[in-house]
Amino acid sequence: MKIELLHPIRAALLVIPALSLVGCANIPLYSPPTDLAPGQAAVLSGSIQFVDGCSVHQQSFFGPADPVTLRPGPHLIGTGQGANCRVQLPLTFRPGNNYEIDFSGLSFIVTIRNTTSGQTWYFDSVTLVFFDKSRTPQPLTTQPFSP
Amino acid sequence: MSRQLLLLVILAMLTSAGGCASGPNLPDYVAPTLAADQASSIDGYAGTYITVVDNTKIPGQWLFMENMGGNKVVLAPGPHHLTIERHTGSGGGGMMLHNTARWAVDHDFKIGHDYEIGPENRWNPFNSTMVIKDKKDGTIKSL
Repeated sequence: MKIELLHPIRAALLVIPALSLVGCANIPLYSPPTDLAPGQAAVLSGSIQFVDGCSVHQQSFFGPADPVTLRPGPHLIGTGQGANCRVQLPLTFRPGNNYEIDFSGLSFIVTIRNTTSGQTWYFDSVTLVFFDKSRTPQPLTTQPFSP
Repeated sequence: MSRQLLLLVILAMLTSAGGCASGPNLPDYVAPTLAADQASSIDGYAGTYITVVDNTKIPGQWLFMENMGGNKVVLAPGPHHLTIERHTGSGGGGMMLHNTARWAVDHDFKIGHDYEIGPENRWNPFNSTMVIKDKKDGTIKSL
């Protein structure tokens, strides 16, 4: 009887996607708040992957992804391009404000725009420090940062 | 072919340098000049490095070993905000996997206590649970 062993590379190609599927199966889905009056929620757009550890599932191949509605207050936002580039941002959101979050994997910088107030802030995913346009870090007393 | 490879390497270096240049302006960390029994310290292990303390960067921290080693930082007692990096690598047969994970840590350091920070299980590169341990009283806190 001939037993043909699986080549290690072929085995890895089979095992790695299978393991990643097992990992994905345990991540809960984010459910936006439904009990807020109009104008009370914070709205977040951009490349958002996770909110408080829950998957947002807004992968869009054609055009921009749908905005994410949030209850005002502190949240942990996951952004990035691919699993290895994921960045977590502890942010406090203001009611009725709209935000845009962009992550450039090349520069390791996340841009946070409050389109309601017109202000822009940055987060360095290497040092985990928030800073402004003049590259001045945010004082630690203002954490979690409210853009 | 080799010229194209050289161009790619130069482009990658320029890109990474550009990335560093656009980050925040952080001054260098200056360790306190206190007697050992009046200070605190934190020691990284198993590829764990302290890179930022209270919005100041640890100078000369550019070489990181994977899965082993770390750096030691002397601190004034009291609350501090740290950025921690853990560098891991695994693989064989010509295939290497490298990973860098980062954490922001807030901790109140007791006077005269030394701490260590790293994975819960230092021999397992896939263990992502990080702990901070007080070497004096043995208390352990997960990050």
